[in-house]
Amino acid sequence: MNVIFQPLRDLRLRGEAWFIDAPNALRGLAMARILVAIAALGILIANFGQRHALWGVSSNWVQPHRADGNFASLATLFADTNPLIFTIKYLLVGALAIAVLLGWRTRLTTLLLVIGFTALVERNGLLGNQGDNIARIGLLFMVFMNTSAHWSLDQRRRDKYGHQARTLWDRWALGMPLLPNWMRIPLHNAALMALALQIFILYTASAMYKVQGQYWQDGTALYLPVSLPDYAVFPSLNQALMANGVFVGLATYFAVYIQLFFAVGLLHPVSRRISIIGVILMHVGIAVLMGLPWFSLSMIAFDAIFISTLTYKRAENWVRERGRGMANPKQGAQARWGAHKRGGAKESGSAGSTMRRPALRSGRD
Amino acid sequence: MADHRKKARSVAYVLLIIVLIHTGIIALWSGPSNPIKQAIGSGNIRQYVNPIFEQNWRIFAPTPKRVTSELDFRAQIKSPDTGEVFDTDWHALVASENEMIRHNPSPPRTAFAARRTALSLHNAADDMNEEQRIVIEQNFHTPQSPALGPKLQEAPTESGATNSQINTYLKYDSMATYLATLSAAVLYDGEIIAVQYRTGKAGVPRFEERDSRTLADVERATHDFGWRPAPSVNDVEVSRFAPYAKNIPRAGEQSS
Repeated sequence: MNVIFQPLRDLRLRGEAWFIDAPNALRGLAMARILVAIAALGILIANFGQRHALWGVSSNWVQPHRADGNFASLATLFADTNPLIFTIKYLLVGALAIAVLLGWRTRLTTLLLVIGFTALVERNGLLGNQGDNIARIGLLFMVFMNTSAHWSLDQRRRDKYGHQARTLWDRWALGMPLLPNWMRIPLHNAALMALALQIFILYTASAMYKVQGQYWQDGTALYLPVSLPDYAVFPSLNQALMANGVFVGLATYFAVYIQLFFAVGLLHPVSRRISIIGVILMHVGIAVLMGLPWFSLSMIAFDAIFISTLTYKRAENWVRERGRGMANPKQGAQARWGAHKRGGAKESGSAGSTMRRPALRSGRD
Repeated sequence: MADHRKKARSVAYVLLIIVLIHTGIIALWSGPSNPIKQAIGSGNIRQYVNPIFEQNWRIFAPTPKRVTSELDFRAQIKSPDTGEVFDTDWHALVASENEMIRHNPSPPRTAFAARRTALSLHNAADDMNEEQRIVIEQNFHTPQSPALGPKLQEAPTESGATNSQINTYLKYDSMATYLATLSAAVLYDGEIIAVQYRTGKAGVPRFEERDSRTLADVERATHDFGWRPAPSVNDVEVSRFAPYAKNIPRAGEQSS
């Protein structure tokens, strides 16, 4: 019987360790934070010229649709009749997106961004897309996670002044954790798990609907929307690609299978790379062939949590060495900053990585 | 320290249960209809999911989007100089929306305003029976006209649009009327008395035909609708609507 129960016990201990020892996927979440903030910013910039007709004083044409919307009352935050006040609020949402991008007072600005962004885009649900939904859900989960442990102004402040914190007020002012580790770490990891599972659902459900469809089965589905003026950013590119039947077939099946096997693919290091690179390629394709760059970036943002911490560290080192190499050719590869003097608990793994750990480690600050 | 681990473990298990229940509900909501979903009841699931976790992953599936829609309008305007009432030419809203997309890697969302409105109107008209269609083709813009809504709801629904489909139509009718009025106000001086819209729809040719025919060669299915009274719009909303409407061409001018 021990043959059965011992591995199960090990698995449980590893699972517990993943959950309570340290916050996971800190670099992946920092990347997700940066990318989703860029997506929000991109949406604001792309629509700035027509903001009034879309969400502002000239958007009353959509009122019957808006009244039935899910966020009708939240959307009244932007129901100003003065275009200047509306524009100021619009720019404020942009400022929040920049704050999240830079990791400045990250938890608070993330919360405010999700409220402001949702209120704004839900002013016109008719012209929204699923990127809005995933950005809202992802940002909301991020409020419960530490997304500023890397590549952020918050972390820079913590590194510089964190040791000076004496009182609870100091800790707040310096952006130090307020909750004790035994609450903070499980909360972070639970939210991370919820976000990862949300992404699995998204791809699996998308694939399940696709495999039901005749055009997805016969490998021509891609041809139909890509031939519409609705998405024809580069009509001649779309036309040239759709003329090639082999390309249409390959790309159609690629979209189905990369989504269908996404969650399972993450289990093995080799298939994980195929899954992540594949799904990013798919979204890049959607961005270019269908004119939906910010939808695609919102999706890619949350795919980034599945890239392993090791990969991020390698990329980080590469960038650092390049940067040092250019600034000061003598010092070269020795260059390091920040990493060795992190104040927070150590981290491990990515959201989807298998839980392989040397030993249980106590989470401490 | 051991005490802390114990507390952390308890918190973790509580959170784990919450996350798994949440995920189960989201999975049911996102997935196709199935016996588990029916047992719990879609209404109960919706109550949890909406609004915060609302999502829909039937994007382009099972059937990908394969039709394009068009929305044309014209307006009845009282000239500010002569006081004469005249009808404008027809204008093609979707043609100008197509121009917002073409060669713009990051198109504004308004490039979908008229086309999405048109599609709902067109599909609603498709669903209607003969009596209902007679009503929507009538004019309702003179002071003596009855209101469109009650008139349409009076028509028999047998083998036509249901009450809820009619309500959807009425919603989109007022949206198209408002879009047309704002657009006309940007393009023309004078008091806008009434507007009229019409819709078109065409599907991408079959995959096998793609070398011989493109969407431009496909004949549009069209629906005509009667005149509607123009809603009153103020100067501020008209001036701020201009970036959307200022390049709307006359219908027939564009080569799609």
